[in-house]
Amino acid sequence: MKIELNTNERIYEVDVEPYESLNQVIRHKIGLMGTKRGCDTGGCGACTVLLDGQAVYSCMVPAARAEGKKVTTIEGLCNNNKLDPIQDAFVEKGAIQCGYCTPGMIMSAKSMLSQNSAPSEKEIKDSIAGNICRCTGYVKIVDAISAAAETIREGE
Amino acid sequence: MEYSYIGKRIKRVDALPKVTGEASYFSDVNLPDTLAGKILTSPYAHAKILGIDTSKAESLPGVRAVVTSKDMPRVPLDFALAHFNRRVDLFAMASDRVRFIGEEVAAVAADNEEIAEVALSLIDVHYEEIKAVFDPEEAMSPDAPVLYDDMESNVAVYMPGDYGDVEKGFEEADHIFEDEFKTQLQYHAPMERQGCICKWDMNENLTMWTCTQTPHLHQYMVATILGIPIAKTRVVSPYVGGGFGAKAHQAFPYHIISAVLAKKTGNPVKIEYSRGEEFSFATAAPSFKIKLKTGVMNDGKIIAKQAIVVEECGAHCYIATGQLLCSIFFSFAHIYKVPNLKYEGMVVYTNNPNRAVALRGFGNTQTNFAVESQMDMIAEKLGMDPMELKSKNMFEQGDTDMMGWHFNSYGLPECIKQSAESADWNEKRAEKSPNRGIGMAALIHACGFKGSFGSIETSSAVIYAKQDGSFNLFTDFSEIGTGVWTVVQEIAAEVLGTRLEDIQVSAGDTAFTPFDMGSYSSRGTFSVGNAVKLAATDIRDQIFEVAAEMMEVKIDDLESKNCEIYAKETPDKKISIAEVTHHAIMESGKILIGKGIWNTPSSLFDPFSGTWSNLGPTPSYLFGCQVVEVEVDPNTGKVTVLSVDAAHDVGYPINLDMAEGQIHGGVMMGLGYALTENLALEDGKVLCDDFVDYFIFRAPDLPEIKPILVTTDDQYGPFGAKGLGEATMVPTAPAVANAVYNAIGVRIKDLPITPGKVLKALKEKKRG
Ligand code: FES
Ligand code: FES
Repeated sequence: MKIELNTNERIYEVDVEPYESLNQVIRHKIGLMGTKRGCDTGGCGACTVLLDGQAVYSCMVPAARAEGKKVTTIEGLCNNNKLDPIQDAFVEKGAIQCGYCTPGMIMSAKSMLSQNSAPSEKEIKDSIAGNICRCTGYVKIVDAISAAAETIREGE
Repeated sequence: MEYSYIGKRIKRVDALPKVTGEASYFSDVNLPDTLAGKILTSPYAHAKILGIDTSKAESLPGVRAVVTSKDMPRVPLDFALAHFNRRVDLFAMASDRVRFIGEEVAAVAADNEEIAEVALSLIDVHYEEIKAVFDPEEAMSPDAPVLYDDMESNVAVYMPGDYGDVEKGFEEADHIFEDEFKTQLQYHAPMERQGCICKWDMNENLTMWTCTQTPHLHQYMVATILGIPIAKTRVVSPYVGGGFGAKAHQAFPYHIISAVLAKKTGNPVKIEYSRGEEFSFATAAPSFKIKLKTGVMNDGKIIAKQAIVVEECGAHCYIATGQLLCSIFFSFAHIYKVPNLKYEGMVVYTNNPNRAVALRGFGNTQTNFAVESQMDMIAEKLGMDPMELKSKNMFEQGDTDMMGWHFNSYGLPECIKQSAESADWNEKRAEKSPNRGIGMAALIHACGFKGSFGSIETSSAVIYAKQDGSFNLFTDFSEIGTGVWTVVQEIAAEVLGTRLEDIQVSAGDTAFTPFDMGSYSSRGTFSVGNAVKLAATDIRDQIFEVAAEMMEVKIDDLESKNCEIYAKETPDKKISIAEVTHHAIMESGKILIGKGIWNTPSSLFDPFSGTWSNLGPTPSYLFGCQVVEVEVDPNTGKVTVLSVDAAHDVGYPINLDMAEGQIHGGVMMGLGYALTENLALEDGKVLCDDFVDYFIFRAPDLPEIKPILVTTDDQYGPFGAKGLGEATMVPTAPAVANAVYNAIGVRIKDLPITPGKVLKALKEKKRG
């Protein structure tokens, strides 16, 4: 079936199968490869995108269910080469190793920070509890999210 | 020495591509007309294959090719791994017999994954089950089914060694300690799953996009197995989504299968494991059983040590020999000075699904758990602080031990001291709160263990100067997350006196990078760092030669900094690097190409003498010590880690953020190994297939991890730097076990330390 997907403020008309996940469609039909796929079963968070601002596992959402909603992927965070404060903080704090969890981590943080720009350390950790990082021990990721929150608060 | 970049917090070169989603991993490569490849694997742990009927699958619309072992080259996949005493037993597909659940039997290429799945279900394999064996102890018994017909038993490798007089040592000892330790299978769990895309062009060139830690060895193996020229085989693997050893494969069956399917269909073929497949049979570190006997004098001096190490490799030996070497030598034979040593190491086949794949620590993690747990027991019995016991038995900087290992830098005492201070060790040991405990464990490791993975230990780099004073730097290294691209950028810029952004790093593509062993054994910073330092020095000397002529000064007087070249004596005489390179290339026809080849001065183990002829397996050893504090709930048995203070001798840190990051990540992996991670098996079948059953620490569960970088200025390291990555998880599990003992007085000798085991031990303790 044909659906219209509003992804990163752009309308894509795509032909999808009922069983196809949003993850498959974003990656293979729209061609945005920044969103990763680590398990396909809602277990790792590598596929996290925003659906109307809420972090979701794109592997668990049928693509058809995203019609009429706003999908934001990692590619949608950086406009005219200007990084989102979270992306900036990940670079500054060295919160990256292999980078496979990074897009999902950033999207989870984005969802949380858009509702709460003064999170406690626990709230930060809870916001990424659904995202596994095998490389960093999360330490610098938590630092980065907290630095991003500060930048966002300063801009408010 | 004040450096411009070395030892600072420098932003990673791969940071921007990774935070924006631009970094392209193998599975992000989207080629037109790519077919989905899927592999049919054995449902039996041990069976004969009597016949395979693929006709139904072949006639399914959308199926482009079906292959079995008949289509596969009969060249083993593991022909060039360890340098001695090993078996070659891994082929791309099973032909007449399967030896574990998950062994490759047939494969299809189809228009999409769904059709490929259906096609697999239409392949008829006629099996006849045979008796299987799953326990290594049972596998060694005379009536066990033997996995390989050319063998009399399941002992794939047997490696004995004897130094001094162990029996006499035990006779003289005031105390003897005998314990048995067990470790589990650990799954690497990189966030990127294994896979590759293969494409042949009209000139019969094969390009393989994959996730490998070792592109050039991978290229060599794949080409040799397929029987095609190495130069016509291109391996592309720049960004790798985590490796930890899982991708230090020079060729796995799926690589060969994908290449054969692509050849047969004329289309690109992509094979990517599902997470379930990853769990079930892709990669895991082998389990070990370690019997350890130690003789100690009243003053704490260790006088004799004996170990029987049994490594269970599953159905394939793969790199088990290398792991066995590392399991024996580091923590058993070299961490402390022991005059009398004896060991027997064995690699044993079973019908379990693991291929003895390398995992961070590579055998050392397992033995370190045994040795450092026992050290804690010895200290308690002698009424000594574990720190004191360690100090009594340590080496000194400059020592060469009885097997020939030479410690040119030796940060162990400092690591123990600093981790203890940071954790308030003395205070916490003296004033214990109920159910809380603190434990420590130390380690030794190598940066680049010669002989663990082949008989060489080399790296190389090439650097070209451009007309404007910028440089292209080529190394083989994939960026698996360790930060090696940033390390080499810093090193080249430091040597050349340029800005960081003047060094363009290109890596992970065999079409244009020079040979390297790859990313494993904590060798990146050390080996490729040395190669890049040599290459940068080479090209700097060429630039200085031109500059000396242009400036009319002696070449020895020259120095470079901030993109300019100065004469030391007359600092106002200067010229920009750009002017020199432009003049050289565009006006004198001098092409500036720097080359660096690092061939480590270490030596290979000689199995006959049982020693190394020069320096040991590496010129530079890694040391570290971790202190862990835990709280144990005596009602539930749950162990909560409160803090980890991890001090590691890094020689000299190249990049503080990245060094700390390695420690954070390694400790987390070590805590998982200690407490939660276990690829549990039942009759050869893996019981967990997702991240619910296989628990990896999540952000909210982690304690505070304090990295401490100890500097020792290694003589061989680039800018004094040594490796780090693997060492960071090695001592975590014994430090946890020792902390648990300190908290509640029970000793868990088999990993992981689950609540069930703690409760059971508590009950036994109560019963006395
Ligand atoms: S890929 Fe969606 S949660 Fe893992
Ligand atoms: S950086 Fe590798 S998984 Fe997070």
